[in-house]
Amino acid sequence: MDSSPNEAVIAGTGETRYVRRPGPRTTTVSLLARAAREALRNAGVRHSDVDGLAVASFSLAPDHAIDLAWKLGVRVSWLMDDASGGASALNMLQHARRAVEAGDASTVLILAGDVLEPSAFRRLVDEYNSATRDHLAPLPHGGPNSLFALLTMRQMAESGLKRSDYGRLVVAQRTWAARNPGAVYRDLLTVEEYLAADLVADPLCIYDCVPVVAGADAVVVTRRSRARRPVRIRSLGALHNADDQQGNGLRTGLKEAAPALWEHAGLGPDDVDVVSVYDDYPAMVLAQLVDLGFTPDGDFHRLIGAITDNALSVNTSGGQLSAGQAGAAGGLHGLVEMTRQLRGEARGRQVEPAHIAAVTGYGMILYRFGGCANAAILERIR
Amino acid sequence: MSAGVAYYVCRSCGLAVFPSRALCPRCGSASWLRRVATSAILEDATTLRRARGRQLDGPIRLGTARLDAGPAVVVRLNAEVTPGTRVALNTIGGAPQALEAR
Repeated sequence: MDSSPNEAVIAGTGETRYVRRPGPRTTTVSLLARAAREALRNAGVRHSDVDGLAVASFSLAPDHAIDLAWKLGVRVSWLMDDASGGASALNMLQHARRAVEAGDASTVLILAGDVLEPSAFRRLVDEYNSATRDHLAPLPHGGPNSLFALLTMRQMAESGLKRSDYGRLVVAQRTWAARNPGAVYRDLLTVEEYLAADLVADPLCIYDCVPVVAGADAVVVTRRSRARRPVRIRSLGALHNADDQQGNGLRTGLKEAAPALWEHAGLGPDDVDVVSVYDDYPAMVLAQLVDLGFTPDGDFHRLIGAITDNALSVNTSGGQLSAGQAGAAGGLHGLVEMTRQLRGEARGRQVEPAHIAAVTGYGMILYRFGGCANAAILERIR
Repeated sequence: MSAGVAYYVCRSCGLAVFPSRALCPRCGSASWLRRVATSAILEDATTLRRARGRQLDGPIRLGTARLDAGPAVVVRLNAEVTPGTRVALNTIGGAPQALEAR
């Protein structure tokens, strides 16, 4: 492991309150600014120390990262606009880490956030990319729920999972959410209530689909010498467009990225204390955990058992399914939660011990399923 | 309405894709043949019952149709066709449809 003072580490996090119905004066920039201030305070870094900025947002347009730098009043030698959706957090971290270690910047603010009114959300999902605009929106497909309903059907056929199995996963995340004051849905849920809930797109019910919220997240990456209670990035791996959309979507890019990820970390799945898996849908939680090797024999039932028994602490914020999905902040939400766990800041839901965390990112539906996948292994430095 | 669904075959290596690509993911060629599939096997199906930001006229049936050449196409199902059966393909307003069993 690099232990030089120039090693890039995560030094602090911020997250605004997530809200289902934002007021008329809530803007994307105002949320990003609030998360940024909180992260700088949490990291003990001054506003004037920031010399790098990365941002991911679906609703920042027509502004870009440079407009945001202006509005936040930061002068930067390193600037990044990211458009990788659920994989944006780790994509920005992958680049920011190298920028700090190479000396292009010393303190980078990584931001993501969105305010998406129903009409803006509809435009976003209908014009997500040209393939969606041309071949899915005319159906209409109504957004990603129908595509992941079909993917979940395929996973059920391949694995023998039933709706109640996904329900157990959703209930487990809601149980974590009950201990997170930042989650928008905190009332405990039973599998019976899950099975009786309204369907959105068979077999997915309302509890399988992320609640869209307004909110923003922030992470500060800086040199180790500048950080208090730093979190080390032991490894970070990605594989995007792994199968050209020619597969069935049940294997992500993590399947091929995992061996190098663990090798660079010098660790394996058994060493991990707490995990954040990008949970746009329960089926993708399982797919990514299998791809990362958390159940070596691919036994889905045993994996679900480990999650519901808390033998494996997964999505301790409640995940996006219960905490909410603030657009492009969905990926950064998990990185914030894992950093909080490693720094002992996850009040009421702190995992003990929390030395090693795994975070995944997944997303950007190209046609039938996500085209981006990445993961990081993080370590608390004493 | 046009009969069938257009897909693309690489002139160089024969890989079939849907939707179109600029370069062939297998061999890097930029030269494609346009082909039309008039039927496919329906692999899976769902019923969309609600969608954020829009009012649906009623439930919408959607599914995955596997072309004989290989690619999978997301289609609208307008009849009571069931997974595992062969369906006839058409394109209406850019939207691939599986109207009936074939």
